[in-house]
Amino acid sequence: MTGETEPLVYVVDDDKSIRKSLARLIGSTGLAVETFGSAREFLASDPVDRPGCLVLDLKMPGLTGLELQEELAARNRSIPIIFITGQGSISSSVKAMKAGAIDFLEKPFDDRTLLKAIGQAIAKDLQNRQRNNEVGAIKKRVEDLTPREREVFTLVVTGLLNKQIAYQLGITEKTVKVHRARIMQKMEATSLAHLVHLAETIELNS
Amino acid sequence: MVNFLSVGRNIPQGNYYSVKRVTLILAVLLPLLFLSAARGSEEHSLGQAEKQIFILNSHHHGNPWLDVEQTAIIDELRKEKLVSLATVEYMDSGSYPNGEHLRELEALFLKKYGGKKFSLLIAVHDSALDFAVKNHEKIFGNAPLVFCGQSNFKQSVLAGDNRATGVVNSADPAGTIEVMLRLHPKTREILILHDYTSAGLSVRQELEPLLAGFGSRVGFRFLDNLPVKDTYQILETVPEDTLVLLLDYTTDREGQEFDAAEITSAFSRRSRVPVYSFASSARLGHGIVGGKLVSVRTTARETAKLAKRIMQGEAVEKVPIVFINAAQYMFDYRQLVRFQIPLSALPLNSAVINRPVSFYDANRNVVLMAWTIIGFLLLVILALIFIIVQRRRLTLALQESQAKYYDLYENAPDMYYSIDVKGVITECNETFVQATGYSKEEIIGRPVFDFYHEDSVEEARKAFSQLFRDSGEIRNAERKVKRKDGSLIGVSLNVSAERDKEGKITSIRSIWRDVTERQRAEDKIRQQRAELSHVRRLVTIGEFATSIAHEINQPLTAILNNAQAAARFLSFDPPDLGELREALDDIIEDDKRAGAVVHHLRSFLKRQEFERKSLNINNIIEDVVTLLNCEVADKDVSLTLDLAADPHAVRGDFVELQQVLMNLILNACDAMGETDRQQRRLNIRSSVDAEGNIAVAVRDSGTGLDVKELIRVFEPFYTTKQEGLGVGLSISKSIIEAHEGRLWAENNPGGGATFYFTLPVYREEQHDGGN
Repeated sequence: MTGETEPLVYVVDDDKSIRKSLARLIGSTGLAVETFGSAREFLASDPVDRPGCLVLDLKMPGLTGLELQEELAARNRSIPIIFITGQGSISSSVKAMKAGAIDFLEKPFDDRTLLKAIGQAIAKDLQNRQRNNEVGAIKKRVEDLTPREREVFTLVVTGLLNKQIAYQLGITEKTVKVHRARIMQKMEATSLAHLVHLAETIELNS
Repeated sequence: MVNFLSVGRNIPQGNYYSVKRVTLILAVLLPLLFLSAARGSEEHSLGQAEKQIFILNSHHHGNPWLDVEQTAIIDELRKEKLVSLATVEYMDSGSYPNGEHLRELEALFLKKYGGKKFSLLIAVHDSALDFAVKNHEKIFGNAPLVFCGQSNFKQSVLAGDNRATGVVNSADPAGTIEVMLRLHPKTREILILHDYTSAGLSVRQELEPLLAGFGSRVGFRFLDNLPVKDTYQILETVPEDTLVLLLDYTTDREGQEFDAAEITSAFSRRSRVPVYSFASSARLGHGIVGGKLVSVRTTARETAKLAKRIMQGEAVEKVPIVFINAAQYMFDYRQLVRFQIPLSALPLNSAVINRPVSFYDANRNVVLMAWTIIGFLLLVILALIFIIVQRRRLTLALQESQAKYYDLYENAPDMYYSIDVKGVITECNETFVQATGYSKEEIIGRPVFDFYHEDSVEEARKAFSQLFRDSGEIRNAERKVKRKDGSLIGVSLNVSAERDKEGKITSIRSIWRDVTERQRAEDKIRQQRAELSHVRRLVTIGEFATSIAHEINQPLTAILNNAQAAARFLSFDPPDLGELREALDDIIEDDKRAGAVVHHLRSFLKRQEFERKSLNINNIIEDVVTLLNCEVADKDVSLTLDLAADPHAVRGDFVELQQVLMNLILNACDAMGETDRQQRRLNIRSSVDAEGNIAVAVRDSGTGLDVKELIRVFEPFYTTKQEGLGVGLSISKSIIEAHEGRLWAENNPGGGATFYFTLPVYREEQHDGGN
């Protein structure tokens, strides 16, 4: 993991006084805050590899909050989002939550509610980042496997016996055993159960 | 051709009537010659006056029966301007045929004229020619000689005198006998009458050989030499199938001499049968029926021609003798009647004398003029008849037209009446009577102002007196009229003044159109519009409630955020007073912002009453834009204002105009729903148009409208939106029209639509007007 580890909170709202007051409020907890007047401004900024979250106004001229959420997903830029809105409709809140929003706050809101949501969001982001790092490591190990080993690996984690695997692949049982040992070694797996867990983590079969 | 009239040059006295004939010619000719000479002295040169003509006549002066020939010669000479000083001498050889008389004349003439020089010598008839030839040099100085009227001319008469020429004519006895037989086919005998002088016998001698040519067709008998009395008796008793041919007759057996004219008349009168002759036409008119006669007129003309040629300088030696056949069928009408000879029986080209002259011939000019006048009068009469008929037709058409217009006037849907210059009604139509409920007697003679409702009387009086000062017209003025039963009629008044030649108003024609129904309908529309306006107001309030809530919620949120942050700064140890102060400053700002929104909302809700005030259109625009700021921003529309600097005030209702603008702005935002967000542009512009009105344009960059929609969008309940009622624009239109303005839509050339409205400029005098 590279870059700063200090979390950063992004605020995107077209209303300047809201923007300013939010920055002040969030900043008072010691969190770093960066504000943007519009979704486009935010998209135009360089992504910073830093844990954090996004406090996003739902209704804005230009790209709306929901549209920004979609756009970020499309760009594979995962960041937990807390929506704030003046007149939240049920349909838009459902849509936002389904798309993975942390919370949907109606203005005006209590500082504790907001700060709690921000805390959750940052934690979630940290967790996501952690997980993303793990998956990356496992995936890297999988990449070291030979194609035959990868085939065997896939079949092993489904719970097939060596004999069955040999039959399915048209090789000898003894060869399967050799592959299996190599897989365990390369994947740094301590047991079959551990190997299955690793496979699940990277969602090998999905 | 034989010259039958020859009497021989040796017997010059024989042709007695010829003597008399030419004498007569000269008798008339002379005074005329002198007259003409006297008269012509001025017009002719002296050279001509010197030219003297000498006329030598064989006969005596005063022969009355040859005036035709004389007149003819005079006419010809005068025509040729040859009438000059002339000397005339009468030889009277008929009366004195012996040589002694001639010798005495020679001596006399020599004495009288021997020394004189004549330009021309005219010898008339045989004796004169003989005398002239004989004494040509001695008496007449060899002057050029022209002769005429010779009865039996022979070249030998001239005796080689080459300074003589003349006219010789020949008679036609055979032709005469032919025509006699033709006119009287039953004739058995022709009695030929002549005297037994040498001249008479000479003629008979010439005739006789010819008679054989008629053979058995008719018998000829020469009458014996008898005393004239016996001749008379014979003529009185000749059988009816006899004709008489008269030759020369001057002397009877007993030596009694006769005047040619008289003896011709005497014979003809006594004769039971027609008498014909073939000698000179001079005998015609004295009792003979006619014959193929020698025309004295032709002879005279030819003679004059010769005289002219010589007078004009032609050498007499070179002028040949003219032989003419002057014989022509000639008849006396009186004798034709006497012997019952029809005119139709006569040969073609026959000359008939004494023919009764018809009234037309006698008064040809008068008759022609009379006919012309009658014709002209007839034309005038026809023209008058035509005019009368036309007039009658026009009169009928006029009456018909009058009847039609009277009917139209009386039964027209409008009330017609006329008033005099004092405003008193002088006439009115039936519609007026029906509409007002008064009788005609109650209406006529009363001032028109009596019929107006109190509300209109003042206005009517003012307009009436104004009429005399300006155009004399009133157009579509609305008035209230009171019926007899007290109820009201709304009328639209049209007036035009009638003027005299000086342009002074004499009377005033007026029309009242009953517009009660229309006014009622208009009131209803106004009421409905007010109702709709109210509905719209409610709809608008509903629509903006959310928007206004948002407007207030934003500063409230900021305030809360700031307050909570402030609380945190205060709890720091030490408290962060700098941040605290900033937070509080922002709280104040946000609170003010919220207050402003509330203030706008209040003023928006407060103005419920419809009122007309002097308004600044820019204020209205700015106000509405403030209210709709969020709404516009929500739709990602970029709004620009383009306001006229210092526009004139308009007259109207603030809230109503605000509504119109809101409507237009919201519609514009809706119209851009499908436009790319970057392209959503809304511009509001205020300006002063060409007519001085205030114009507002709301321009969007949306989809625009199709041509039909440009009109239809203003219809009530016409909408392209799913949620709208479709009343917004129709209400807006009625509001603008109630403000006497106009609202319309146009597509922009670059896409999108622009809605325009105009409003009249506020004027002070309208202040207390209104509905």
